[in-house]
Amino acid sequence: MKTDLLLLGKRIRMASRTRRRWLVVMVYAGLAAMMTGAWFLDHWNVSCIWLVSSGFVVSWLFLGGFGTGGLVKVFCEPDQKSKSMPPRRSSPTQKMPESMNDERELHQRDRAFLQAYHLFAGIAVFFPMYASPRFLERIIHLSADQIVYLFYGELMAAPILLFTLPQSILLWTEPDMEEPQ
Amino acid sequence: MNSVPQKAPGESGLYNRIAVLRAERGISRQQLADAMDVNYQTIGFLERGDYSPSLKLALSLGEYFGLPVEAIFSKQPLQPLSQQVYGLGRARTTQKSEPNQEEPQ
Repeated sequence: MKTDLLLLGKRIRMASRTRRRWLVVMVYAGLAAMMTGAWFLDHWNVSCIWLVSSGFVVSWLFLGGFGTGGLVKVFCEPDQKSKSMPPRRSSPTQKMPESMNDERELHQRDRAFLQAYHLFAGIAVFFPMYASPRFLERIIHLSADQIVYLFYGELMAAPILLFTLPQSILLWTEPDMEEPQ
Repeated sequence: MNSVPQKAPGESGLYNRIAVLRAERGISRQQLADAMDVNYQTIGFLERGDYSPSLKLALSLGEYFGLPVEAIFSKQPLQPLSQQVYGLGRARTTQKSEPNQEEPQ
């Protein structure tokens, strides 16, 4: 994980876990606000495309993992696709690039993906199961239109969660980063 | 800089002497990290016992410090190296000297 967030050419220190947690909260609060705003705007008819795209942009700008931006290093580097621990240096004196994950970071990445998968699978499987139209109609008294929008909202949130959850888990759980001594 | 051996094993359940060895040799976490091809944060995690290294990294650390792996990592709390080395030496000398002391009797 990187210690600084590079945003519009400005370096923001994010070594503290509290700061990183605030960032995660702000990101999801922002996405939730955008979803609510878009619903009032056009009931997600066209804005859904922009909303899902915003998930990618947020991931690329703040969270990282899938590009050069953001705090989390690239999850899958070209030379890490084939081997888990490839020889990285051409000479012993050559320093490991800062953007590369070492063995601990790869382990943390895998753990974050596992947790994200559990969470995502839980939402994807149990939400439609318990939020059946009959249950929603009778217990919560939602109309047929509202039920459709609820499922539509879940469908829209799914790709956003898919591309932001592992990074968010990493940013949330990693302890304060130390200065090099 | 932490120069005393670890009191608690951390999340990994392993005790280690990395901080002591690094302090003895006067090298920074960054220098050790560069030599081991890891990030300096990982050295911190190793020193605190919060991460158990791969066999490759453990062997590389042993090679770097010129020590066997069991001298760096242990499942039991580690004694200070000086105490371990000179303590053993003293124990040997006392063992040798004891029969001599008993001879006159």
